[in-house]
Amino acid sequence: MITGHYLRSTGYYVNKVKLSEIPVGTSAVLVEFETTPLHLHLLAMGIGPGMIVKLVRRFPMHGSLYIQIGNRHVVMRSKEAGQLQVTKAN
Amino acid sequence: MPVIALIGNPNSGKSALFNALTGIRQKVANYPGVTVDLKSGKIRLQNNQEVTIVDMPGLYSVYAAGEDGKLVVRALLDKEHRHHPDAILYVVDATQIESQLLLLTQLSDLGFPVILVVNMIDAPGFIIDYQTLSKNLQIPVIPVSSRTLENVEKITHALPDVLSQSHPMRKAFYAIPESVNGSASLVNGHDTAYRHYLNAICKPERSDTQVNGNKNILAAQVEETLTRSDLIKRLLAGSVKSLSGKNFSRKIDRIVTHWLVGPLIFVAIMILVFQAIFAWALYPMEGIEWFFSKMGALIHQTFGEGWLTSFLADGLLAGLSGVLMFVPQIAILFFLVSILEETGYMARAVFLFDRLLQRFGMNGRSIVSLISGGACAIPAIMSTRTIENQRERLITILVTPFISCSARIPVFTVLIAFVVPYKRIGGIFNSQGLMFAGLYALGVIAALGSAWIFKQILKARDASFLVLELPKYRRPDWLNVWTEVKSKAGSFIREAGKIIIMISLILWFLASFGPGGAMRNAEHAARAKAAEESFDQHETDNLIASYRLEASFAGILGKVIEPAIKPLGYDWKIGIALITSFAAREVFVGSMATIYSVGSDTDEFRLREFLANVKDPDTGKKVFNFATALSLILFYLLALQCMSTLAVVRKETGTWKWPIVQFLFMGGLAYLVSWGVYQWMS
Repeated sequence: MITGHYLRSTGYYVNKVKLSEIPVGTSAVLVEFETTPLHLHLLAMGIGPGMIVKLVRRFPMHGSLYIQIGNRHVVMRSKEAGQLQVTKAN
Repeated sequence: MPVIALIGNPNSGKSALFNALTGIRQKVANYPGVTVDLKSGKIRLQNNQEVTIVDMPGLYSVYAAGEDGKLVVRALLDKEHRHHPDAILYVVDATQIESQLLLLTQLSDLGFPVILVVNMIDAPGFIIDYQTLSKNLQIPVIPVSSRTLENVEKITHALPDVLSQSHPMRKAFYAIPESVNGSASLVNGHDTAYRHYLNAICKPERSDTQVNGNKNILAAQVEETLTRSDLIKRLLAGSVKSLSGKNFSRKIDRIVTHWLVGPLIFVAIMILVFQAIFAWALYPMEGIEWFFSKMGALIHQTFGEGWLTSFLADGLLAGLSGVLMFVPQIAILFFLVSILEETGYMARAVFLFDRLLQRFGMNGRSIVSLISGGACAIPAIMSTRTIENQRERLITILVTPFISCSARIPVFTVLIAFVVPYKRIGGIFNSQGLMFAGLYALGVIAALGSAWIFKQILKARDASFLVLELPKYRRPDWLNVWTEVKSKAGSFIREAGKIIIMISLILWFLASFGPGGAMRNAEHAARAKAAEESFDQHETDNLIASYRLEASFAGILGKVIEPAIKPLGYDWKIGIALITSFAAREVFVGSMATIYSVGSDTDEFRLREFLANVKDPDTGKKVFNFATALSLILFYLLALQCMSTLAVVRKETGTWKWPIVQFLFMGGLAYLVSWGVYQWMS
């Protein structure tokens, strides 16, 4: 059984990918928050490890990611999403 | 008087609740030293006690990133602070309660008496057992709706009890580990351990970068936040349940944030906004003009001719009307912009353009300033305060004045006919209208191009990140819209008003007085000439005004700068107009009218007809030809001829360095472009 995420850039299924790399329309679980101002900011917003995030849409020109977390909608730049690790949601 | 602070996350409906509590009896405090406006209002409690309610900027945590957030933390920690609260109303959105309680636990741990106000209970999508919630949190809970005003009066009932501090302080939600709290033993009296801890790590003089640079402190903050979140989850279990409902906002977003349709919708909205500004502002502006011409006539009647009349009518009144003339356009623009903000659309527009603006060293949030610049750079520059990254904010401030503001319109109106003759194109357009649109586009291009240059020069100091929660689409709160319009128009009147009036008075002096008997001689010369040409009274007066202006200090200044502006195609008369435009660009029209003795009360169209026939006395060629007019339009488009903007940039950046850089950069660019165009075209 395949448990990981298919990562197009490598052609493999992997357990942990960056949030910026999951396909639009899929969900994933946030894991392992690091010690950075961005992670602290997200935690303060009530976004933390173990939460399910869904990538709803991308903004124009490979811009920001439109994400759904619970019943909230959050937008972050792809650079920031690149700092977040996720695993496959069940 | 006790101070009650309204605190909550952004989008918690805090401002709407503030409006519901205070009504229109509120004022906006412009904070000296820091760049945040705080709204406050007085209300009477159930027991007749009067308290001040302060609407604090929204924030998520005491470890705040933005300028706004830092102000709140400062007010919380400094007991001498003017807005240090005696009690806190902590506001949350009922549908988002799980994710909005972090700050509540921090405030409680700081030792403040807190009431949890659960707002927006009229919205669907949640079930909350308020009694259990209050019992679990050990904090009083009041469910309210700021929209329907349900239960709002209960807040004034509950406050006296909280203020009397008869309750023992709540036990801390979070105990600071011994390893990070070296100074815990020093805790005394009313100071809680948490307050002590925060005081130690959040000294106001320590900038955020330093705090963030310290990995240990950051790690402790992350640890604390995680622990608090877990605790909140446990405390809410059994009392809060959110239901999944249909998602209206996401359906709209599918269209509004679409890669192609989204920007098109944005452009359409902007066209409508600016169309509305010009259409609606016309009537109040005519009213203001009528009022000031009546006032001027009244002054002439009352005081007769003389320097006092001239001072009042041409100095003071001219300055006042120069200020008030812009208020309608500014008010209408901010009325429309705040509706876009209130409905939640603006948050989407921010991300629509974030990627594009980042390439130019700015931020999605810069879009609000760039749009506002279309009315006036002053409120536009003040609205850059929401941009957290300092470099992105600075670049936005530096380039916003390139966007064509309302003061440039009269100048363009006079000159545009010399560049393109009126012609209908394709039924709905005309050549001059298209030229106008082209000038606006040119302003945007100049802004983006300059931003790109500044991006190469200015070094990035702190990491930029932009994570925003998109608010749900909703109907605008009209009281919020009104407050916003009042505050923006007020900031213009306050910041620009005194400078425009002051400059007007200086210019009046420069234009009314000259060295020695020069002015008297000029008047004699004009009278002699008028008698020779058998002018009527009106023509004679205009000729005298023109001769006097030439002999005045302003006229002398115009001649002094003439060699510098000759290559651009301007003579000393245009030089006078350039100098006087520093009060506000539209003064150009009045100055040109006076100097060409058309009478200073003339409008743009009569002035334009007149200028078309002006000939150079030496060469006999027309002064206002295609090349001069285009060169002059470009100069007004690009140069920073606005003292008020310079003053506001100084205030916002805290140093004279940036307004000087901006002035030289924009002036240099204007000179080069106008010079190039004139030399090429003539």
